[in-house]
Amino acid sequence: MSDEQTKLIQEAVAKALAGNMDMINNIEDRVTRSKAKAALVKAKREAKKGAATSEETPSEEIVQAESPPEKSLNQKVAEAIEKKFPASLAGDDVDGHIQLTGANWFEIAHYLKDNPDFLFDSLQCVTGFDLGIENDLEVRYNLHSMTHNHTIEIRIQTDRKNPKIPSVEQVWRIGDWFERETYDMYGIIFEGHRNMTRILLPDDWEGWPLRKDYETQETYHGIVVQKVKDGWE
Amino acid sequence: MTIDQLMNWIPFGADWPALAFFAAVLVCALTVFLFIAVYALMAIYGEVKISSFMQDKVGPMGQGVGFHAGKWGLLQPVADAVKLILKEDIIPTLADKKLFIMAPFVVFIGAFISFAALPFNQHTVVSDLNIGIFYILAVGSLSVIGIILAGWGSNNKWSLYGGMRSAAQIVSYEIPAALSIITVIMLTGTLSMQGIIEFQKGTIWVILPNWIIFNNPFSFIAFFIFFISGVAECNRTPFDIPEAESELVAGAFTEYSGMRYAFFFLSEYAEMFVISAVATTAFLGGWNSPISGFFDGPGWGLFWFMGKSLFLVFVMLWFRWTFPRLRVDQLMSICWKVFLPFALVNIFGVAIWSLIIG
Amino acid sequence: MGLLENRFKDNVVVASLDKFINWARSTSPWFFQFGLACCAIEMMATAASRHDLMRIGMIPRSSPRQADVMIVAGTVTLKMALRIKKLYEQMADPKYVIAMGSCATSGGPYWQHGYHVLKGVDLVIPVDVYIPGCPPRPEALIEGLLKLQEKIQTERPLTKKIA
Repeated sequence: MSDEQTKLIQEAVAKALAGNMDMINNIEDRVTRSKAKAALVKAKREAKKGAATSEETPSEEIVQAESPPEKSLNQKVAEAIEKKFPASLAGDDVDGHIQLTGANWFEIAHYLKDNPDFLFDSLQCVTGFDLGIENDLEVRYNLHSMTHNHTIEIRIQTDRKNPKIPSVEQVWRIGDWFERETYDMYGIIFEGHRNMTRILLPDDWEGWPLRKDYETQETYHGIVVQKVKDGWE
Repeated sequence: MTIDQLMNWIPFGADWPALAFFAAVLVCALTVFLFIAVYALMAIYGEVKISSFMQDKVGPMGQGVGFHAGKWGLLQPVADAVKLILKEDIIPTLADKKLFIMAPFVVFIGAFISFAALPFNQHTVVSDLNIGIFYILAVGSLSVIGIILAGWGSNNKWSLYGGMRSAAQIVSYEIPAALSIITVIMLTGTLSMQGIIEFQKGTIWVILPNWIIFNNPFSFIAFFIFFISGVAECNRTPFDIPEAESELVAGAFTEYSGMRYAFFFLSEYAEMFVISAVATTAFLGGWNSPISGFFDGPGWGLFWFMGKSLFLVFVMLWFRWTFPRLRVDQLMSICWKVFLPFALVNIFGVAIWSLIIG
Repeated sequence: MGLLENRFKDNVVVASLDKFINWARSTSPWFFQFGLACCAIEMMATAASRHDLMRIGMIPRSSPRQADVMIVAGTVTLKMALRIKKLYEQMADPKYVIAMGSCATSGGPYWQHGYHVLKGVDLVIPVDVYIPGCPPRPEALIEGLLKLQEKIQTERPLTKKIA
């Protein structure tokens, strides 16, 4: 970046912080203009952080018995689950997702859907996850609430040799196909599901394709499946 | 009176009348069949070309490798016909063989024998029945049996659905059609086709020809009811749920290949012509010229009749690429809840009009 | 054509009739629109107004019994391959197959890791013309169809085959 450009951008940003956006908008060169706008955003962010830190200290000094900082949604949900279904949480760190054991998952799902604070009425996705050969399989649920407009992720690990998880098809009806897909790709059996069959692959397919230790079958009804294989040539 | 004239012509007509009758009928039937074949070729060409022009396409253009379908694709229907004749004839193993084979012929017969009463000209009718129009309405229902046979005999549940829907549709739409024809019969007082056309000679108010469509506001509406019911009887879009591609593959005709399919195709176009011809005769003056007194001879009569009928066939082709398809329940509800009451009102209207004014 | 197929010794009448029959079959190939995936969109585009498939005589039919050419447009999974075989057998002779796009020709972008993709539709049905492309442009599809017409015109349906 040339000196002229830097000076121009600094001027424009200073003017914009004071409230006058004209100078930035009048820069003709597209590249310079976008750089100026990016610098403006950065400057604004710094200003806000500066203001926040400068505001915290006075309030801390003034009031001692402040209410504790806002709890995040995940923490609220985790506490609620822990209260109602003790020993269901499988981990303490609830920032990104909530880890559950599979034990009361069906009841927890009902609770999450019906509780007026949370009202998770939309199951957005059910994903299977293979944590590596020798490790467990995992299932992740993304829940969303239309009324409160918040989302949450729930993960449940299960054993590789005999993967079983309670089905939530009765709670969210879309779980029907999501769980069939997870079964199709990973072999995780959802107990209580009314129609646990393959949905994408044909019914007589062998194996669970998205597992890390999956080997494609040789032929299917006489049709050769692989185009190239190690050892051919 | 063509059969009678032919019978007088045939040398042994006096000695063996039965044989002469048979020969005359054969000649007429062959002529009509040839006419249908040529007309169908033209109609297929017209349909493909006209529909293409309406979709901003160009249609069969005689392009491709080697000697192709002539300029403007004029030989395209000929190639289609030859190819269909040379196709393999497939009859599904579990299909009901007799019904499967009979179906195309029954459908064709329904359309074909209606031609016996169509007046092409002052002098050219295969047989000027004095119950002409009643005969056509009655005989036109034979094709329903053929479609049901096709649907059932194919041993295919989708064909069965298509056949049943088609039968329901055709049978339902015959009622408003027949009721509209009743208005015509009331005005003319005769069932004979030539008689109806004779009634429409002359002019109203000097410039308008004395066609039944202009006679009466009620018969004006009756024409449209009749024409639209006719379109529904031919299973044409917007009423073509029975053979809709996205719904039922090809409906009742899924399992038919080659020449058998060509027969269904032929019957559909023949039926279109019959409906148009009946509409022309009943409402548009048949072979009468629109400017009464001029262009009136027998040659002109043929020209006017064919012109009006082919124009109505063109309108049917036009419909196909203009309107979206109606759902089956919308179809049936229009027939029973809209057309039928209107047709009944028309009958009363025409009667009262004739009483008070006519 | 049953009784007449491959029955007559080669002479000028039979050769002319052969030419006539080939002309009829190549001028009106009705295609079975078998669009499976993205190539189907290109097939629809070819049948639309700008590049018109009808001008070479191809009319879309949706029933396999009434179609001459099956254009396999799109990725064929193994589950679908069994159905394609069935539909091919339902078509009436003489029938032709066009493999459109690289998925139908040889498995396409899924050739290496696709565990459920059929690596080329010619593993289940005999293909006459392969059209490469992903997806092939309408002009490419039309060229493939013209090649098919050339191929049809070299056949000898009535002539007795030697040996």
